Amino acid sequence: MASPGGEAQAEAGPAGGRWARFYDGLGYVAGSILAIMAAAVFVQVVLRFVGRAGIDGLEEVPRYLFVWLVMLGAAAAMHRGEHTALLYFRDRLPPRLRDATIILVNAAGIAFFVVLIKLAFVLVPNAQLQTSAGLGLPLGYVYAAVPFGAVLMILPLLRNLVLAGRALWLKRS
Amino acid sequence: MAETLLIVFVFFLLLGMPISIALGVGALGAALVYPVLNPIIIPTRFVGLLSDSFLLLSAPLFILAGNLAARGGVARAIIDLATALVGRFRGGLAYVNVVDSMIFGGISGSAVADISALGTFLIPQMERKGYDRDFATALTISTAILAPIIPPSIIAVIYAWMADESVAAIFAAGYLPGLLIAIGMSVPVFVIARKRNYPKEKPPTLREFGAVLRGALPALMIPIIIMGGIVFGLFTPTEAAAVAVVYALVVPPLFYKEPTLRQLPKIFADSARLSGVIGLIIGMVGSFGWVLTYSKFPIYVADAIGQVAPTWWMFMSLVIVLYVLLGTFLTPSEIILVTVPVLLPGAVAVGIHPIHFGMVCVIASALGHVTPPVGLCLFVGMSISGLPMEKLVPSLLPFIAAIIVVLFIVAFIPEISLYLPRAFGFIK
Repeated sequence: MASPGGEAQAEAGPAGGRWARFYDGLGYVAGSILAIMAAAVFVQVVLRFVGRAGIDGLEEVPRYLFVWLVMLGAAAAMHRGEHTALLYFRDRLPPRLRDATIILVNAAGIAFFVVLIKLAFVLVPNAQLQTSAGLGLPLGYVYAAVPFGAVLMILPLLRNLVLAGRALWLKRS
Repeated sequence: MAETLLIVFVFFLLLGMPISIALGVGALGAALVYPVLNPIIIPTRFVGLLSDSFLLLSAPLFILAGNLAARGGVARAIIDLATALVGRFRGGLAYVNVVDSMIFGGISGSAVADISALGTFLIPQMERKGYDRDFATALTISTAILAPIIPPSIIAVIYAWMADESVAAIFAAGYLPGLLIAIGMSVPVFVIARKRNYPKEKPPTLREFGAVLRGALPALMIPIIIMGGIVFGLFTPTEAAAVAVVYALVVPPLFYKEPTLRQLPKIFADSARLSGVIGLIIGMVGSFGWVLTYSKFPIYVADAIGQVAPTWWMFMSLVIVLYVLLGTFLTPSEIILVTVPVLLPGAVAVGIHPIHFGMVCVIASALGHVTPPVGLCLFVGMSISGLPMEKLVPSLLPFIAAIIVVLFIVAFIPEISLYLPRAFGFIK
């Protein structure tokens, strides 16, 4: 899909084969989660129409899977540069300033996700003590999607940063 | 507090940071400056917003249903039906372009799915029949905004969820404005088609019409199932989306041979990544909106707007101008997610019905898909036609003008948005 953020991939050049395979695989995992969510909601409708009582806690399955879907889907999209960003001004900067901007933006993004991971060390164990109303699922399994996804999102950002850093270095010498 | 948040957010947004991350960084920036804010609200609000709402699940499910149904076979069947309906007039295929987007809008909730599915057929077909390529492309780009206005609509789901309003109501609200926009866009089509003497299509015989209608019926069932199910209370919007997913998986392959089994993994992965992009923004808006609310920012804004625009129609005009400006750079769901928490209290304070306000927000933000320099539909149209932006913009202007005129009509006559939701009993 074309998106303003799609340019990020072009500027980073062709992604390394192994990374691309890994992140595309992640997209398929997220796609499977989406399929399970759709199935869970559909089963609920069918059960109601045949007059059966719903399965206890079934309604929680798609809701909690949604958190995982978002984190994994967003990471797969990050690798492809599909997150919408406003590149109009950045791309009108002189080349060196542009590289410096890319470094700043990606470094700030990495710092943000590192903070999320750090916070998760407090949050996930705490959430593990609570259980969901329907399934009795310890909520740590839901919250764990945040640090897990954050790690996966840092890697493409790091790659952007390194590529821009290298470009800046080459232009200087 | 709100100032720190907004300054950091806008700073990184302008430098090209993805909007989802910029929202989170803004909240983190405010938490660093004001120790009273604990940054732990970022992940807790993130997980909370995404997992607390069954309603919100309709967004990824409608994305999936739209992507499953937006395949060649369905697109061709709908184009054939539209040709049988309106092809006989001067510039027939241009009206077909408008009508098929209306029908397709009932199947898919996203403008980008609309233009990729229909544009790849219609633009070359129009060109073969003697239409100018820039006209054909500009029209296809503009008509695509009917997809998020005519239900189902991803943007409308997000608005309803943010405003705590009924999705059914805002869905029902979309029909009449959608129809008006279609009529509005037909005006420049009428003028241009006469001036350039574009061709007519052969009117179908009754038999041919029957065949075309039968061919389109499996596709037409999708909007009927979704809205019929919601209107008659058979299922909730989220359930309707899941039913549409299953229908799109089972029925179109029988009639149109698409989607094939081989296409499925890619369709699911594409939908999952798009859900991830939108979901990440939604989750990050959690802490962003929380900081805004905590610092009473929406109240200040409502007061400030109350000073500048004391009447409801001035408020509406101001919102439209703001949305059109934001729409030149942001996507519709982003505009809705960032502005609705701030603007809705003000709108309600000057006496605007939240569903009416929502409809205006949906149309005004959807226009952002079309307006240069940044618009997803515009980009897809450029890549399908191979035309550069400078070539397309002059041809786009009459259609953008038509949409804006209708937008003001919808904004100033609340009944256009409120009549159907009232008639169906979704709102008082």
